[in-house]
Amino acid sequence: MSPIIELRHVRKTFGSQVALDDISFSVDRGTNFVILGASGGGKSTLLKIMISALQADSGEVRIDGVDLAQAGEAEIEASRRKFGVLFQDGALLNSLTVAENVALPIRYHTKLPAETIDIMVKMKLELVGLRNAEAKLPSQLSGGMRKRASLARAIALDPLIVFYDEPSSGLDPVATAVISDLINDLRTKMGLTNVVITHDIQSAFEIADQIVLLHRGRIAAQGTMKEILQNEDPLVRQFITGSATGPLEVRSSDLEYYNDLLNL
Amino acid sequence: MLARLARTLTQFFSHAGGMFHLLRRTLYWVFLGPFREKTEYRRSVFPLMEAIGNKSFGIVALVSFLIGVILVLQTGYILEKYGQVRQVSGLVAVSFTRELGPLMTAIVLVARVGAAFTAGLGTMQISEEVLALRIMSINPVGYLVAPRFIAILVMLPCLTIFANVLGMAGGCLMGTTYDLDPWGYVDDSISFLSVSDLLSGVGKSFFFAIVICIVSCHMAFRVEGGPEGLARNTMVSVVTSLVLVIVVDGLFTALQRNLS
Repeated sequence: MSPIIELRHVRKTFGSQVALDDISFSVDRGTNFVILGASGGGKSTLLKIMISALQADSGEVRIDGVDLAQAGEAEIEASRRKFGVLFQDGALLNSLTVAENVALPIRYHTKLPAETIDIMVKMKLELVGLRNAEAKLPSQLSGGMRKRASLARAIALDPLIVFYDEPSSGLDPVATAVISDLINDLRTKMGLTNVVITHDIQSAFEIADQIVLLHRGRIAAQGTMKEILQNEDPLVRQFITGSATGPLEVRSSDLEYYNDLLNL
Repeated sequence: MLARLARTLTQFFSHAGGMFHLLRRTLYWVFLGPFREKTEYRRSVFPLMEAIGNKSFGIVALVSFLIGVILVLQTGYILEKYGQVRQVSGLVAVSFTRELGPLMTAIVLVARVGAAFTAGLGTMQISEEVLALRIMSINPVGYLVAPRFIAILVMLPCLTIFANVLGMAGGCLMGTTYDLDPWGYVDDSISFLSVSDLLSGVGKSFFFAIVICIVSCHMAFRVEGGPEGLARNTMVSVVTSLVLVIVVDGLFTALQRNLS
């Protein structure tokens, strides 16, 4: 079976800064694919390219066989209906209740009667464990509940793929575990392909079938969870162990610091 | 110096182009969109009309009434010197219907509604709600801008008519201090006014509504850099709307004068 997402030699720059360089990987249908990386590593840019919110400078991005770089507006619109996105802060419309948020894409893209839409909304909210919060506004929800409500909206139209932008950021360990369980559940129950962008190594290990590790806009490592765990590359080891020193060092070197102080 | 000028010009043309593009897209969504694509104007336009119209009525009424009072205070004593104090009713009526009613209402709506549009939609832009709409294949112009456009296009002329009436009422009240009979004042006001005075003022208000909506929504979609960017764009939106309202007013007046 052909992969549902394929990236080939994707490159993206912002001015003189290279955000992504030579990114190539494929995601098989019905798998959990995790894109790991430190902050500023290019994860969010990569996500925006995959959801067609940004266009790559070069390379191919195929979603279910459609090359987004070559596709017209109508094809991009059609490909967007094949995926849902869980945004980092939920991105729920604050003026609508949870139920109205989930109903919004269904109302817009189907001609179903209101009663059927209500039932569908209840089913989606039940899937994410939020059926008793349907009348609440997003501002009345906790961080974890907001993410689950956003997930219910992302799966409202039964997409093939769900993208998750930092699903565990800002959540306590229990809420993180709930989200991780949900990601696994959705794959089992709905046959979804999950693409998770995260820097949380713990939740990555709980869900990942395949992992890509991004470092400064390039792929530093790629493989199954077992392969990543056995990888001896110092950069990969540092990311896995969470050590403060190593190739991922965020502080500048002593030499750079002296040069900076002395304006050399 | 040259680089700064080039940057300013680039920004100016970028914003001008962006606003023109937004206007074109909005007109599509208002006039053609409902026949070709899914829209939910019935659900969103009426609450917006209430927010723009009903909730602005108090401040528009207060400002217009007070300006009517001030206008008679400022001009009545001069006209009294020449024994022409009865003319004050015509002066207030014509000033309000042709100029002050539409302009003051537009200025109040720039501050009250335009700023709210930029702040509200700008917050949605920062919190990725606008991106979420695009990803759900829901056009943000059709979902967010078009209902606001319709609501302000209906409510600004309505508020302008109320402003005209209340401005004249303020003038009438103040006229009593010059021993003018209120009923005589009303009769004089009506006899001074022509249909073209009324139409030109209300006609202008449609264009003011377009300016306020397009500038404020455009600046909202251009918000970058979190709360600081939102504050900056809200300020720029209010200032640009005010300037453009006055420019449009000037153009309208010049056009009217040429035609007459």
